[in-house]
Amino acid sequence: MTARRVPALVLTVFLLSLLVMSCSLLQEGQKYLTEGNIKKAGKTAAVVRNTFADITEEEEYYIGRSVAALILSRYKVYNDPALNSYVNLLGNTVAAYSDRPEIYGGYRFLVLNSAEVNALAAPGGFVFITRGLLRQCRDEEMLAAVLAHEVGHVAAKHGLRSIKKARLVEAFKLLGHEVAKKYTPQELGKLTEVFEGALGDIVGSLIERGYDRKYEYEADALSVKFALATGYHPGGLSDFLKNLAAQEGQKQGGGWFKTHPPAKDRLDRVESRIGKVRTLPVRDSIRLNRFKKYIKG
Amino acid sequence: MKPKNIPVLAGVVLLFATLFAAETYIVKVRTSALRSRPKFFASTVLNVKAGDGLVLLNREADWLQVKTSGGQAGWIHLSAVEPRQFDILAWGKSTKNQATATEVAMAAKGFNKQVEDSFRARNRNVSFVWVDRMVRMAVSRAQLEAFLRQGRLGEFRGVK
Repeated sequence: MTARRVPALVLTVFLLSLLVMSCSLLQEGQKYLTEGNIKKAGKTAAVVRNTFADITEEEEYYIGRSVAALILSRYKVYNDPALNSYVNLLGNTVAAYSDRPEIYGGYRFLVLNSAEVNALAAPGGFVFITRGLLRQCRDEEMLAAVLAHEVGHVAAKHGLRSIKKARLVEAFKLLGHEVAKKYTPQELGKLTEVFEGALGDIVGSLIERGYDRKYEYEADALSVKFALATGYHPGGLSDFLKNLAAQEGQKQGGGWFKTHPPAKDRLDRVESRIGKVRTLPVRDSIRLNRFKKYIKG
Repeated sequence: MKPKNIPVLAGVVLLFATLFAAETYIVKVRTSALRSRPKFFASTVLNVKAGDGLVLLNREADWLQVKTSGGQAGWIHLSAVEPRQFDILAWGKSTKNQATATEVAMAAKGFNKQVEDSFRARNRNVSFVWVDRMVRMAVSRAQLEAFLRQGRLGEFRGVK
Protein backbone atom coordinates (compact mmCIF):
# COMPACT_ATOMS: atom_id res chain seq x y z
CA MET A 1 0.00 0.00 0.00
CA THR A 2 1.41 3.43 -0.94
CA ALA A 3 1.63 6.14 1.71
CA ARG A 4 -0.93 8.34 -0.03
CA ARG A 5 -3.56 5.59 0.16
CA VAL A 6 -3.35 5.27 3.96
CA PRO A 7 -5.61 8.28 4.72
CA ALA A 8 -8.20 6.94 2.25
CA LEU A 9 -8.15 3.54 3.95
CA VAL A 10 -8.48 5.10 7.43
CA LEU A 11 -11.41 7.21 6.22
CA THR A 12 -13.09 4.15 4.69
CA VAL A 13 -12.67 2.18 7.92
CA PHE A 14 -14.09 5.07 9.92
CA LEU A 15 -17.14 5.47 7.66
CA LEU A 16 -17.85 1.75 7.62
CA SER A 17 -17.53 1.62 11.41
CA LEU A 18 -20.01 4.47 11.70
CA LEU A 19 -22.39 2.54 9.46
CA VAL A 20 -22.10 -0.58 11.65
CA MET A 21 -22.45 1.54 14.79
CA SER A 22 -25.58 3.23 13.45
CA CYS A 23 -27.10 -0.21 12.77
CA SER A 24 -26.24 -1.16 16.34
CA LEU A 25 -27.81 2.02 17.72
CA LEU A 26 -30.92 1.55 15.63
CA GLN A 27 -31.29 -1.84 17.19
CA GLU A 28 -30.81 -0.37 20.66
CA GLY A 29 -33.88 1.76 20.07
CA GLN A 30 -36.00 -1.40 20.05
CA LYS A 31 -36.79 -4.12 22.49
CA TYR A 32 -34.15 -6.81 22.23
CA LEU A 33 -36.45 -9.75 22.68
CA THR A 34 -38.15 -9.54 19.34
CA GLU A 35 -39.30 -12.73 17.64
CA GLY A 36 -36.18 -12.59 15.45
CA ASN A 37 -33.80 -12.18 18.37
CA ILE A 38 -35.44 -15.00 20.27
CA LYS A 39 -34.91 -17.30 17.29
CA LYS A 40 -31.27 -16.20 17.09
CA ALA A 41 -30.92 -16.77 20.81
CA GLY A 42 -32.15 -20.31 20.44
CA LYS A 43 -29.84 -21.03 17.53
CA THR A 44 -26.77 -19.78 19.34
CA ALA A 45 -27.62 -21.31 22.71
CA ALA A 46 -25.34 -24.29 22.32
CA VAL A 47 -22.45 -21.99 21.43
CA VAL A 48 -23.07 -19.60 24.30
CA ARG A 49 -23.41 -21.84 27.33
CA ASN A 50 -20.59 -23.91 28.72
CA THR A 51 -19.99 -23.34 32.44
CA PHE A 52 -21.78 -22.54 35.71
CA ALA A 53 -21.29 -18.85 34.85
CA ASP A 54 -23.69 -19.30 31.93
CA ILE A 55 -26.56 -20.35 34.19
CA THR A 56 -28.95 -17.42 33.98
CA GLU A 57 -30.31 -15.47 36.94
CA GLU A 58 -33.76 -16.98 36.38
CA GLU A 59 -32.38 -20.52 36.22
CA GLU A 60 -30.35 -19.88 39.37
CA TYR A 61 -33.57 -18.73 41.04
CA TYR A 62 -35.40 -21.95 40.11
CA ILE A 63 -32.43 -24.11 41.16
CA GLY A 64 -32.31 -22.15 44.44
CA ARG A 65 -36.02 -22.65 45.14
CA SER A 66 -35.66 -26.43 44.87
CA VAL A 67 -32.42 -26.48 46.92
CA ALA A 68 -34.27 -24.42 49.57
CA ALA A 69 -37.16 -26.91 49.54
CA LEU A 70 -34.70 -29.80 50.03
CA ILE A 71 -33.02 -27.97 52.95
CA LEU A 72 -36.46 -27.38 54.48
CA SER A 73 -37.23 -31.09 54.18
CA ARG A 74 -34.37 -31.68 56.66
CA TYR A 75 -34.87 -28.73 59.04
CA LYS A 76 -37.96 -27.26 60.69
CA VAL A 77 -38.69 -23.53 60.38
CA TYR A 78 -38.68 -21.29 63.47
CA ASN A 79 -41.92 -19.48 62.82
CA ASP A 80 -41.32 -16.17 64.63
CA PRO A 81 -42.42 -13.38 62.24
CA ALA A 82 -40.69 -10.56 64.19
CA LEU A 83 -37.36 -12.44 64.34
CA ASN A 84 -37.56 -13.49 60.69
CA SER A 85 -38.36 -9.90 59.71
CA TYR A 86 -35.30 -8.62 61.65
CA VAL A 87 -33.02 -11.26 60.07
CA ASN A 88 -34.40 -10.35 56.61
CA LEU A 89 -33.73 -6.64 57.17
CA LEU A 90 -30.22 -7.31 58.44
CA GLY A 91 -29.42 -9.77 55.64
CA ASN A 92 -30.74 -7.43 52.97
CA THR A 93 -28.72 -4.59 54.50
CA VAL A 94 -25.40 -6.39 53.99
CA ALA A 95 -26.57 -7.71 50.61
CA ALA A 96 -27.24 -4.12 49.45
CA TYR A 97 -23.55 -3.31 50.03
CA SER A 98 -22.25 -6.59 48.61
CA ASP A 99 -20.73 -7.23 45.19
CA ARG A 100 -24.06 -8.65 44.04
CA PRO A 101 -26.85 -6.52 45.48
CA GLU A 102 -29.23 -7.24 42.62
CA ILE A 103 -30.36 -10.82 42.19
CA TYR A 104 -33.26 -12.23 40.17
CA GLY A 105 -35.81 -12.64 42.98
CA GLY A 106 -34.02 -10.73 45.78
CA TYR A 107 -32.41 -12.14 48.94
CA ARG A 108 -34.55 -13.99 51.52
CA PHE A 109 -33.52 -15.15 55.01
CA LEU A 110 -35.21 -17.66 57.31
CA VAL A 111 -34.49 -18.95 60.83
CA LEU A 112 -34.43 -22.73 61.31
CA ASN A 113 -35.56 -24.33 64.56
CA SER A 114 -32.41 -26.33 65.21
CA ALA A 115 -29.85 -26.32 68.02
CA GLU A 116 -27.15 -27.16 65.48
CA VAL A 117 -24.77 -24.26 64.75
CA ASN A 118 -25.36 -23.80 61.02
CA ALA A 119 -26.11 -21.38 58.20
CA LEU A 120 -26.79 -22.35 54.60
CA ALA A 121 -27.00 -20.32 51.41
CA ALA A 122 -28.85 -21.80 48.44
CA PRO A 123 -28.30 -20.29 44.97
CA GLY A 124 -30.71 -17.51 44.08
CA GLY A 125 -30.35 -15.84 47.50
CA PHE A 126 -32.28 -18.24 49.78
CA VAL A 127 -30.35 -18.10 53.08
CA PHE A 128 -31.01 -20.10 56.26
CA ILE A 129 -29.65 -19.64 59.78
CA THR A 130 -30.29 -21.90 62.78
CA ARG A 131 -31.31 -20.83 66.25
CA GLY A 132 -28.18 -22.61 67.45
CA LEU A 133 -26.07 -20.19 65.44
CA LEU A 134 -28.13 -17.17 66.56
CA ARG A 135 -27.32 -18.14 70.17
CA GLN A 136 -23.62 -17.79 69.35
CA CYS A 137 -24.09 -14.12 68.39
CA ARG A 138 -23.82 -11.45 71.08
CA ASP A 139 -24.44 -8.37 68.95
CA GLU A 140 -25.61 -7.20 65.53
CA GLU A 141 -22.03 -7.01 64.19
CA MET A 142 -21.61 -10.78 64.75
CA LEU A 143 -24.90 -11.70 63.12
CA ALA A 144 -24.24 -9.28 60.23
CA ALA A 145 -20.85 -10.95 59.70
CA VAL A 146 -22.39 -14.45 59.48
CA LEU A 147 -25.12 -13.29 57.08
CA ALA A 148 -22.48 -11.42 55.01
CA HIS A 149 -20.48 -14.69 54.81
CA GLU A 150 -23.60 -16.42 53.40
CA VAL A 151 -24.31 -13.54 51.00
CA GLY A 152 -20.67 -13.96 49.92
CA HIS A 153 -21.38 -17.59 48.95
CA VAL A 154 -24.35 -16.41 46.84
CA ALA A 155 -22.43 -13.47 45.32
CA ALA A 156 -19.54 -15.74 44.30
CA LYS A 157 -21.98 -18.45 43.10
CA HIS A 158 -20.33 -21.16 45.17
CA GLY A 159 -23.50 -23.28 45.09
CA LEU A 160 -23.64 -23.27 41.30
CA ARG A 161 -19.90 -24.02 41.13
CA SER A 162 -20.53 -27.29 42.97
CA ILE A 163 -22.63 -28.66 40.09
CA LYS A 164 -20.55 -31.26 38.29
CA LYS A 165 -19.16 -30.08 34.95
CA ALA A 166 -20.40 -33.16 33.07
CA ARG A 167 -23.92 -32.52 34.37
CA LEU A 168 -23.85 -28.93 33.14
CA VAL A 169 -22.64 -30.02 29.73
CA GLU A 170 -25.50 -32.51 29.54
CA ALA A 171 -28.02 -29.88 30.69
CA PHE A 172 -26.89 -27.28 28.16
CA LYS A 173 -26.96 -29.89 25.44
CA LEU A 174 -30.58 -30.69 26.28
CA LEU A 175 -31.50 -27.03 26.63
CA GLY A 176 -29.66 -25.57 23.70
CA HIS A 177 -30.74 -26.97 20.40
CA GLU A 178 -34.10 -25.63 19.48
CA VAL A 179 -36.60 -23.01 20.45
CA ALA A 180 -39.92 -24.20 21.80
CA LYS A 181 -42.33 -22.68 24.24
CA LYS A 182 -42.82 -25.97 26.07
CA TYR A 183 -40.73 -29.07 26.50
CA THR A 184 -41.98 -32.35 25.13
CA PRO A 185 -42.67 -34.95 27.89
CA GLN A 186 -39.52 -36.84 26.84
CA GLU A 187 -37.33 -33.71 26.95
CA LEU A 188 -38.83 -32.71 30.28
CA GLY A 189 -38.17 -36.13 31.80
CA LYS A 190 -34.51 -36.06 30.78
CA LEU A 191 -34.08 -32.46 31.89
CA THR A 192 -35.70 -33.11 35.28
CA GLU A 193 -33.23 -35.95 35.88
CA VAL A 194 -30.33 -33.59 35.17
CA PHE A 195 -31.98 -30.94 37.37
CA GLU A 196 -32.28 -33.45 40.25
CA GLY A 197 -28.62 -34.36 39.79
CA ALA A 198 -27.60 -30.70 40.00
CA LEU A 199 -29.69 -30.24 43.17
CA GLY A 200 -27.99 -33.30 44.67
CA ASP A 201 -24.54 -31.83 43.89
CA ILE A 202 -25.44 -28.56 45.64
CA VAL A 203 -27.24 -30.00 48.67
CA GLY A 204 -24.38 -32.49 49.13
CA SER A 205 -21.91 -29.60 49.30
CA LEU A 206 -24.11 -27.51 51.58
CA ILE A 207 -25.08 -30.15 54.12
CA GLU A 208 -22.84 -33.18 53.80
CA ARG A 209 -19.41 -32.43 52.39
CA GLY A 210 -19.06 -28.66 52.77
CA TYR A 211 -17.60 -26.40 50.13
CA ASP A 212 -13.98 -26.49 49.09
CA ARG A 213 -11.92 -24.65 51.75
CA LYS A 214 -10.92 -21.94 49.32
CA TYR A 215 -14.61 -20.99 48.95
CA GLU A 216 -14.99 -20.69 52.74
CA TYR A 217 -11.93 -18.46 52.97
CA GLU A 218 -13.28 -16.40 50.09
CA ALA A 219 -16.68 -16.06 51.83
CA ASP A 220 -14.88 -14.89 55.01
CA ALA A 221 -12.96 -12.29 53.00
CA LEU A 222 -16.21 -11.15 51.38
CA SER A 223 -17.87 -10.96 54.82
CA VAL A 224 -15.16 -8.54 55.99
CA LYS A 225 -15.51 -6.54 52.76
CA PHE A 226 -19.33 -6.32 52.86
CA ALA A 227 -19.40 -5.53 56.61
CA LEU A 228 -16.99 -2.63 56.07
CA ALA A 229 -18.96 -1.36 53.07
CA THR A 230 -22.16 -1.44 55.15
CA GLY A 231 -20.61 0.27 58.17
CA TYR A 232 -20.37 -2.72 60.52
CA HIS A 233 -17.19 -3.40 62.47
CA PRO A 234 -15.76 -6.49 60.67
CA GLY A 235 -14.53 -7.77 64.04
CA GLY A 236 -18.00 -9.33 64.31
CA LEU A 237 -16.66 -12.23 62.24
CA SER A 238 -13.53 -12.69 64.37
CA ASP A 239 -15.68 -12.58 67.55
CA PHE A 240 -17.89 -15.29 66.09
CA LEU A 241 -14.93 -17.44 65.01
CA LYS A 242 -13.35 -17.12 68.47
CA ASN A 243 -16.58 -18.56 69.91
CA LEU A 244 -16.47 -21.46 67.47
CA ALA A 245 -12.75 -22.07 68.04
CA ALA A 246 -13.34 -22.33 71.79
CA GLN A 247 -15.99 -25.02 71.22
CA GLU A 248 -14.32 -27.01 68.48
CA GLY A 249 -12.52 -29.32 70.87
CA GLN A 250 -15.68 -29.94 72.92
CA LYS A 251 -18.47 -30.11 70.33
CA GLN A 252 -18.65 -32.82 67.74
CA GLY A 253 -21.27 -33.32 65.11
CA GLY A 254 -22.84 -31.49 62.24
CA GLY A 255 -23.40 -27.96 61.03
CA TRP A 256 -20.52 -25.57 60.61
CA PHE A 257 -18.20 -27.78 62.67
CA LYS A 258 -18.53 -30.49 60.04
CA THR A 259 -18.73 -28.49 56.81
CA HIS A 260 -16.27 -25.62 57.47
CA PRO A 261 -12.47 -25.43 57.88
CA PRO A 262 -11.18 -25.18 61.49
CA ALA A 263 -12.31 -21.89 63.08
CA LYS A 264 -8.78 -21.12 64.37
CA ASP A 265 -7.42 -21.27 60.82
CA ARG A 266 -10.18 -18.99 59.56
CA LEU A 267 -9.72 -16.63 62.51
CA ASP A 268 -6.02 -16.09 61.75
CA ARG A 269 -6.81 -15.17 58.15
CA VAL A 270 -9.70 -12.87 59.11
CA GLU A 271 -7.69 -11.03 61.79
CA SER A 272 -4.83 -10.55 59.38
CA ARG A 273 -7.24 -9.04 56.86
CA ILE A 274 -8.88 -6.74 59.43
CA GLY A 275 -5.43 -5.66 60.67
CA LYS A 276 -4.80 -4.06 57.28
CA VAL A 277 -7.89 -1.82 57.47
CA ARG A 278 -6.92 1.76 58.29
CA THR A 279 -10.17 3.07 59.76
CA LEU A 280 -12.67 0.72 61.33
CA PRO A 281 -16.35 1.61 61.88
CA VAL A 282 -17.57 2.23 65.43
CA ARG A 283 -19.81 -0.34 67.16
CA ASP A 284 -22.95 1.71 67.79
CA SER A 285 -24.98 0.89 70.92
CA ILE A 286 -28.20 1.58 69.03
CA ARG A 287 -27.56 -1.57 66.97
CA LEU A 288 -26.78 -3.61 70.07
CA ASN A 289 -30.08 -2.53 71.61
CA ARG A 290 -32.20 -3.53 68.65
CA PHE A 291 -30.32 -6.85 68.41
CA LYS A 292 -31.21 -7.60 72.07
CA LYS A 293 -34.84 -6.74 71.34
CA TYR A 294 -35.13 -9.52 68.75
CA ILE A 295 -32.60 -12.10 69.89
CA LYS A 296 -33.65 -13.19 73.34
CA GLY A 297 -31.41 -15.87 74.72
CA MET B 1 -8.09 -0.20 -3.09
CA LYS B 2 -6.22 -3.43 -3.76
CA PRO B 3 -8.25 -6.62 -3.26
CA LYS B 4 -5.65 -7.94 -0.79
CA ASN B 5 -6.52 -5.05 1.55
CA ILE B 6 -10.17 -6.04 1.80
CA PRO B 7 -9.76 -8.77 4.50
CA VAL B 8 -7.69 -6.36 6.61
CA LEU B 9 -10.34 -3.70 6.21
CA ALA B 10 -13.11 -6.14 7.14
CA GLY B 11 -11.16 -7.21 10.21
CA VAL B 12 -10.69 -3.66 11.41
CA VAL B 13 -14.38 -2.85 10.84
CA LEU B 14 -15.41 -5.91 12.85
CA LEU B 15 -13.07 -4.88 15.65
CA PHE B 16 -14.61 -1.40 15.76
CA ALA B 17 -18.09 -2.87 15.62
CA THR B 18 -17.27 -5.18 18.55
CA LEU B 19 -16.17 -2.22 20.61
CA PHE B 20 -19.27 -0.18 19.77
CA ALA B 21 -21.79 -2.96 20.26
CA ALA B 22 -20.33 -3.87 23.68
CA GLU B 23 -21.84 -0.66 25.02
CA THR B 24 -25.35 -2.10 25.29
CA TYR B 25 -26.80 -4.05 28.23
CA ILE B 26 -29.76 -6.31 29.01
CA VAL B 27 -31.57 -6.35 32.38
CA LYS B 28 -31.08 -9.86 33.83
CA VAL B 29 -32.98 -9.63 37.13
CA ARG B 30 -36.77 -9.88 37.37
CA THR B 31 -37.21 -6.19 38.21
CA SER B 32 -34.90 -3.31 39.01
CA ALA B 33 -34.93 0.47 38.87
CA LEU B 34 -33.04 3.24 37.16
CA ARG B 35 -32.01 5.65 39.91
CA SER B 36 -31.34 9.37 39.83
CA ARG B 37 -27.84 8.93 41.31
CA PRO B 38 -25.39 5.98 41.59
CA LYS B 39 -26.71 5.07 45.06
CA PHE B 40 -29.23 2.47 46.24
CA PHE B 41 -31.36 4.91 48.12
CA ALA B 42 -31.48 7.54 45.38
CA SER B 43 -34.93 8.22 43.94
CA THR B 44 -36.30 5.95 41.20
CA VAL B 45 -36.45 7.37 37.68
CA LEU B 46 -38.05 4.32 36.08
CA ASN B 47 -38.67 0.65 36.84
CA VAL B 48 -37.15 -1.86 34.42
CA LYS B 49 -37.63 -5.60 33.99
CA ALA B 50 -35.76 -8.67 32.71
CA GLY B 51 -35.00 -8.41 29.00
CA ASP B 52 -35.13 -4.60 28.74
CA GLY B 53 -32.30 -3.15 26.66
CA LEU B 54 -30.19 -0.24 27.93
CA VAL B 55 -27.51 1.86 26.27
CA LEU B 56 -24.46 2.79 28.33
CA LEU B 57 -23.80 6.49 28.82
CA ASN B 58 -21.30 6.55 31.67
CA ARG B 59 -19.78 4.40 34.40
CA GLU B 60 -18.91 5.11 38.02
CA ALA B 61 -17.39 2.17 39.96
CA ASP B 62 -20.10 -0.58 39.94
CA TRP B 63 -22.84 1.75 38.70
CA LEU B 64 -23.77 2.32 35.07
CA GLN B 65 -25.53 5.41 33.77
CA VAL B 66 -27.80 4.14 31.00
CA LYS B 67 -30.54 5.23 28.63
CA THR B 68 -33.72 3.32 27.80
CA SER B 69 -35.28 2.98 24.35
CA GLY B 70 -37.65 5.75 25.46
CA GLY B 71 -34.70 8.05 26.09
CA GLN B 72 -34.95 8.07 29.89
CA ALA B 73 -31.59 8.06 31.65
CA GLY B 74 -30.66 6.79 35.10
CA TRP B 75 -28.21 4.70 37.11
CA ILE B 76 -28.34 0.92 37.55
CA HIS B 77 -26.05 -1.44 39.47
CA LEU B 78 -23.78 -3.63 37.37
CA SER B 79 -25.15 -6.79 39.03
CA ALA B 80 -28.61 -6.16 37.48
CA VAL B 81 -27.44 -6.23 33.86
CA GLU B 82 -25.25 -8.14 31.46
CA PRO B 83 -23.42 -6.77 28.44
CA ARG B 84 -24.79 -7.61 25.03
CA GLN B 85 -21.72 -8.32 23.01
CA PHE B 86 -21.21 -8.61 19.33
CA ASP B 87 -19.51 -11.94 18.68
CA ILE B 88 -17.29 -12.35 15.65
CA LEU B 89 -17.43 -16.14 16.04
CA ALA B 90 -21.19 -16.10 15.55
CA TRP B 91 -20.85 -14.11 12.32
CA GLY B 92 -19.72 -17.08 10.30
CA LYS B 93 -22.65 -19.13 11.58
CA SER B 94 -25.16 -16.81 9.92
CA THR B 95 -26.26 -15.60 13.31
CA LYS B 96 -24.99 -12.09 13.32
CA ASN B 97 -25.68 -11.28 16.94
CA GLN B 98 -24.52 -13.56 19.70
CA ALA B 99 -27.24 -13.98 22.29
CA THR B 100 -26.72 -13.32 25.98
CA ALA B 101 -27.44 -16.15 28.42
CA THR B 102 -30.55 -14.29 29.58
CA GLU B 103 -31.85 -14.06 26.04
CA VAL B 104 -31.27 -17.77 25.58
CA ALA B 105 -33.25 -18.59 28.70
CA MET B 106 -35.97 -16.12 27.75
CA ALA B 107 -36.22 -17.92 24.43
CA ALA B 108 -38.16 -20.39 26.61
CA LYS B 109 -35.54 -23.08 27.23
CA GLY B 110 -33.91 -23.31 30.61
CA PHE B 111 -34.41 -24.49 34.18
CA ASN B 112 -37.78 -22.80 34.59
CA LYS B 113 -41.14 -23.21 36.26
CA GLN B 114 -42.02 -26.12 33.99
CA VAL B 115 -38.92 -28.00 35.19
CA GLU B 116 -39.69 -27.13 38.83
CA ASP B 117 -43.27 -28.43 38.37
CA SER B 118 -41.89 -31.65 36.92
CA PHE B 119 -39.46 -31.99 39.86
CA ARG B 120 -42.33 -31.41 42.31
CA ALA B 121 -44.48 -34.03 40.60
CA ARG B 122 -41.67 -36.57 40.97
CA ASN B 123 -40.85 -35.58 44.58
CA ARG B 124 -44.20 -35.07 46.30
CA ASN B 125 -42.59 -35.39 49.75
CA VAL B 126 -40.63 -32.17 49.15
CA SER B 127 -42.74 -29.20 50.25
CA PHE B 128 -42.46 -25.74 48.70
CA VAL B 129 -44.86 -24.10 51.18
CA TRP B 130 -42.11 -22.32 53.14
CA VAL B 131 -40.16 -21.52 49.98
CA ASP B 132 -43.21 -19.61 48.70
CA ARG B 133 -43.58 -17.94 52.11
CA MET B 134 -39.92 -16.87 51.93
CA VAL B 135 -40.56 -15.35 48.52
CA ARG B 136 -43.37 -13.29 50.06
CA MET B 137 -41.03 -12.01 52.82
CA ALA B 138 -39.81 -9.24 50.52
CA VAL B 139 -38.19 -6.23 52.19
CA SER B 140 -39.24 -2.92 50.65
CA ARG B 141 -36.72 -0.21 49.90
CA ALA B 142 -38.50 2.06 52.44
CA GLN B 143 -38.20 -0.60 55.19
CA LEU B 144 -34.53 -1.12 54.39
CA GLU B 145 -33.83 2.61 54.38
CA ALA B 146 -35.51 2.98 57.81
CA PHE B 147 -33.42 0.07 59.17
CA LEU B 148 -30.19 1.62 57.84
CA ARG B 149 -31.08 5.07 59.19
CA GLN B 150 -31.88 3.64 62.62
CA GLY B 151 -28.62 1.68 62.72
CA ARG B 152 -26.57 4.56 61.25
CA LEU B 153 -25.33 2.33 58.47
CA GLY B 154 -24.47 2.62 54.78
CA GLU B 155 -25.29 6.01 53.33
CA PHE B 156 -26.65 7.09 56.73
CA ARG B 157 -23.43 6.61 58.72
CA GLY B 158 -22.87 9.37 61.21
CA VAL B 159 -26.43 10.69 60.77
CA LYS B 160 -28.03 11.22 64.18
